[in-house]
Amino acid sequence: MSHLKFSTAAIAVVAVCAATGAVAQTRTNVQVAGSSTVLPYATIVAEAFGAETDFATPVVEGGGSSTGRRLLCEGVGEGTIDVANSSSLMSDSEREACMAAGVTPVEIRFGYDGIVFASDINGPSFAFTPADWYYALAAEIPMDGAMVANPNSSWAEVNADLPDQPINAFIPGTNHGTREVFEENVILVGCEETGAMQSMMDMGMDEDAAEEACLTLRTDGASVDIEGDYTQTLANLDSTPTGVGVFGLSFYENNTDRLQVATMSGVTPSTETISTGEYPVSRPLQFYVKQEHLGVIPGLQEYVAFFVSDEMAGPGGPLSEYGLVPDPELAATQEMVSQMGM
Amino acid sequence: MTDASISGAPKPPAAQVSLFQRSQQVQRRHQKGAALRYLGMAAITLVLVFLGVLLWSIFSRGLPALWQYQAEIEIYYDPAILNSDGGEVTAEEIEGVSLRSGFEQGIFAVSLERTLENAGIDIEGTVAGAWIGQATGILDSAGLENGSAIIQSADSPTDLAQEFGQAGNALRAANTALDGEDPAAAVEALTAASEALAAAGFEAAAAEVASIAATAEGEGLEAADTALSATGYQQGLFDAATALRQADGYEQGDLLAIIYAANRRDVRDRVVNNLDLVGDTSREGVPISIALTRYLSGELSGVGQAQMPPGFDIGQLALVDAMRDAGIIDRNFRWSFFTNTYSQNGAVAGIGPALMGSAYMMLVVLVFSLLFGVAASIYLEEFAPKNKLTDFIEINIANLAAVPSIVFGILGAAILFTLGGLGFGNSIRGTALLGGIVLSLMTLPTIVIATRAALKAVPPSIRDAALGVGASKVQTVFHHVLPLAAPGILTGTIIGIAQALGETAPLLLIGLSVSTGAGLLSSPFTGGLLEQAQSMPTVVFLLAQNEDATVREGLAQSAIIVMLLLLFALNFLAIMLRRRFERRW
Repeated sequence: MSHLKFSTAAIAVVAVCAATGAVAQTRTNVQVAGSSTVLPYATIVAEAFGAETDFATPVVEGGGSSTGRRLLCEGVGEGTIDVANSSSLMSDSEREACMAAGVTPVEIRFGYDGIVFASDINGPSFAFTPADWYYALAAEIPMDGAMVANPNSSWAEVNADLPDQPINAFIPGTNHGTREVFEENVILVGCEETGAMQSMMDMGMDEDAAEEACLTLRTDGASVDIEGDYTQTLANLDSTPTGVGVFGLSFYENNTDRLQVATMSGVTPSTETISTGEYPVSRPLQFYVKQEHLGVIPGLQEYVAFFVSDEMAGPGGPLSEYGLVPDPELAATQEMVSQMGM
Repeated sequence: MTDASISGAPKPPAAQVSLFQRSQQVQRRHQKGAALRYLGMAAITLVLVFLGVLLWSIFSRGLPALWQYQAEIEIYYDPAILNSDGGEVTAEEIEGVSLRSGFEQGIFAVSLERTLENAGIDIEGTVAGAWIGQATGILDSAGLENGSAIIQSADSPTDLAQEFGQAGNALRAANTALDGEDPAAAVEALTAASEALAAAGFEAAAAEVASIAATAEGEGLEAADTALSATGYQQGLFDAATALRQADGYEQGDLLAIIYAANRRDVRDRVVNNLDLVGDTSREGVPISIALTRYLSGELSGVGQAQMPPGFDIGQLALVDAMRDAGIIDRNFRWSFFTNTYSQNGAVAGIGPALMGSAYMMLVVLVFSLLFGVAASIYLEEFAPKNKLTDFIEINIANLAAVPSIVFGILGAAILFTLGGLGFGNSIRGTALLGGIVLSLMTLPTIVIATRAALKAVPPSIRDAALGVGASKVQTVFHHVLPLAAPGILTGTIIGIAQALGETAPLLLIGLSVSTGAGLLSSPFTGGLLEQAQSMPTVVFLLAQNEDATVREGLAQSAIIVMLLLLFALNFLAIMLRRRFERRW
């Protein structure tokens, strides 16, 4: 018994030591991390890159936009990642930290993601305006010269044209890049359009304070932050069929048997209406590539070029098949990428 | 009796105590006992119900997902695509053909069309038939009589769609006019709408609208507006026109969307290696698009938006039906699930590398934690002096067993950071070796505790006897105590490993949750431990987040079943070992 055990253990230890000796090989694959929104599409690109070319399939990992950018900015060398997927833009302070670590991040936009409002397919349909969302979700709204707690409890109270359903909104949590777009393009726009912001400033708030008041959402349970991904939002809608959830267009298009989409200011979200800019709520998707690794890590230059090629990111390609929106200025990006390798 | 006669007073009747009749106190006690029993039974029933629901929800979704729909198609190596310049075919030329536009959208699309045609399916006719059926249905439910005869007799659905559109527009104009103030304009618009309906062939509806025009003159605009809205002609015409426009709109891409050209690379490699294939055919099985699974299994009926597989329309579903009737589609066990790598496309997603990665990690855990765990326990139990220091260590081992697993992930990330500083780079990140080390740290306390209990259970008489016949302390431990404690140690180890197998949190932090880039690992003796690995729990996590409902609510459960079976097998092994070797004194 003990003999057997000791000999297996000895073999295993030898194996581990032998394996550790093989460290310090040159890396032959591209390493990618970042946004969980971009992850599914980046996985599709990486799979296709592995199949189409003779380079190794890139390693793609999630973790979130900010984690990806932080990993990218750790430094230069084989031990660090090459590409960070991101659904939000890099801040100036992040860029400075990056440069300080000797990393030059190059921003490459490859498409847009539409943000849609969808509800249970068996319920009534919705036609929203940003103003509706502001009046539905703001914590306090100006009324007769004073800020009062939001009194609206049903959509019909917000706007008589909307169905008489309790307000149950499932919106992306603050850890999501989507949240920022939702706030900027829906809540803030609604706040400005309704004149609420103006009346707040008339009450003596300065612009920043008024903006903050606009973006402060109610916490009485009518609006629920979803920290997970869209599958969690869908699960919430399943248990609360009167709810309205915020989804990516791609996710909605893959779940049209359960969801119906609401119009925003009369425009139905689709890849066409988003690329023409008619549908107002969308955000750019991009990745940051480490300039220092171009030409050093095998396949990195080719991966970047493949990512933004017409065959992947162009109209009718896997990007739009997946439900993201092709970038109208893709040609300029391709031009930039081809210059980058020089 | 004497007492009674002495006192002269009658004795109060003694409490009637019968062995067969229970007093109130006893009854209460029995009630309490029964209540406790029933509560216990209720608790167990509840637990069993939960377990049943859990297993049902996993198995009812996971088992069917292990069967996959496939189409058997005849790949035609089209010279027009592979040899577009018409000269001598070379391997380089074919290698230069793009997999997506040349093979998937070229070879596979053409081959699929040919396969359907050879099976006697009229592709365009099938699509048109489905949409025309849809249009007829819409017209019928909108009360527009004679719809099917009109569509039958029309030359082209597109022209008819235009006619319907014009009639619909005329009705809309009439509707707008009725909302206005001018009765003359309204009557005029209604008459025009009636004429447009008559031109399209809807005599009854035309008469109806003409009578509404009379209403507008007689009873006023409001009554006419209500009457017109009640007909639903306008929406019916527009919807029918939309459906009819689709009838002519078949494109190759609609057909191609039904399958997923998973083996396009294999097909290219095959023709590169055998240039004679150009112009020839071969039979290939290709998976059907995963979104169609629920339609083919009957879960979605294909009628109405809520029953339509996402991304497909009724024209495509008609083609799927035709393919199924022609025997092109069949259902096979999904062996590839156990060998393929994870893919965003559910049609080809698999758990091969994840199973291997988890197995390698368990190997590392076995080696590390058994070696260090048993060594530490033997020292603590047999050799170490009993003092405050060893007590302190003992308490902390027990504490360590209760540390949340995510903490070990952070520890792993710290190890990684240190190794990076030592010049190892991140090449250890995401490997089974690192994952195994982190999981070993987590498993160690479990094994130490189990081993010490097993060593303690060996009676002192064994040690005394060994020492008594002149064995040294080391000989006593290794020749007598350890073999007797081995079953207990193994049981503890197996349970520890089963626990480590399902651990997700630490792996997320050390690069084992990748979605691509991990292949089937090579042998652990030739560096397989240092290749990018995946693990079972993180792949379940990825599958459960897939945007496709069939993957999220099918394949994720299939992967869970595989994991559960592994865990059951490990636990079964532990029980068997205990039964087989356990000794009682």
